[in-house]
Amino acid sequence: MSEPPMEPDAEREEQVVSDLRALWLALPAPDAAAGGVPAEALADCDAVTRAVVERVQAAYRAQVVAAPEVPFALRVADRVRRAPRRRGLQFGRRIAVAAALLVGAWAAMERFGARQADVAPPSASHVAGALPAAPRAVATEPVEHSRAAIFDVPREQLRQRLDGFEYRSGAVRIVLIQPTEPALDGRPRTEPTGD
Amino acid sequence: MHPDPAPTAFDIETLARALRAAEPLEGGLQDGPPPGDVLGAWYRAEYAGVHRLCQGFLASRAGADDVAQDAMLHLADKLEQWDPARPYAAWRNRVVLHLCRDRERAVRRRAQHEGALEPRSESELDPAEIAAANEATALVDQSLGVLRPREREVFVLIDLEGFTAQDAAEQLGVAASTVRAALALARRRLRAALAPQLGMVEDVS
Repeated sequence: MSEPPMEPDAEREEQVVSDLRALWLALPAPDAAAGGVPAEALADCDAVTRAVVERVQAAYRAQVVAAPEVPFALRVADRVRRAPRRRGLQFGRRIAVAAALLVGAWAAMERFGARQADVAPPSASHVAGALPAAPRAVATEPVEHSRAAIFDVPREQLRQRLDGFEYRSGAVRIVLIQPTEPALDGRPRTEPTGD
Repeated sequence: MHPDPAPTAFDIETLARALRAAEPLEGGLQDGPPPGDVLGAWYRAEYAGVHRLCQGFLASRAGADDVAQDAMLHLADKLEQWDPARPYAAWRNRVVLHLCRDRERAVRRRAQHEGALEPRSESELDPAEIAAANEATALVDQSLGVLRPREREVFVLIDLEGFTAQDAAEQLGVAASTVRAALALARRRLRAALAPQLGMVEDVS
């Protein structure tokens, strides 16, 4: 005995669901990492952090810096920074620098309407730690309704542009601090010295 | 370059078991890849599916780009909390769902906080969404966007991801009857809103 014919509305619902399911299955895969970070540096990282760093790098290379990337990159940087002091810590600081530069470059572009070429993206050598002046303070700490990224960017251009700038809509606050001597115990300095 | 095609649920569950059996993550992170790079294999196998789930729950590709990475971190951190006697996919879906709900709440709060100062749409804030949007992505986001959050969650889990109403009810923490009612509403709403856009002609007879 054959099934009774479906009501027109039920048929349309079936069709909508079927079409949506086909679209769902055809969704493009999320962008994969495009590389850009030296393999030896990434080797110290777990797979999740590795993917995030590569994604941030890929965003730079494509000159498309998305708002959601920034707080997430900072969260990852913070997590890595707080990891036990082993080989991961130093690399975590490097990631924090990369994330901070990402925020800085992005905020500068948005605030000042700078051409993207005016704000040099962090190169692989930055991320690898070959900075002309190693960062002496890299820390993030939660603040009310936002997350403060306190960092020392060894790029005078960015410093001049961003000093005191607060980026609010991305739930990220950027606070540049004046360079000081590193703490005697070598631990990252976390207290803000200029805001 | 795109990641490898998503493996079967069995593959992912096997990887999750292997990852769970590895040494516990110290401070939430390991300072190096685990033996045999189980974490890397799990990440590659899981990320596309988690990303798709996030896109479904949020009706936003850009939102998924953000939350999916966070979800991967959470899943990796919290894997010890998964009971291997129960399906891994159900546990994963609950974790992803909660993160998506958290994000939606945060977006609403932020919009209320900033709206009076500088009203901006999400798409204006996110060039990646504009750059990445293609026809399928845009249509899926638009379609799921007409649903209320609970309807969207149910529709994604049952009609798109293929879970049963009972499974979805357990993952959402509600009664199966509630799930069925929400699913009926979701389908009806989609039918009314999308039939023309999906190439269908309303029956006028």
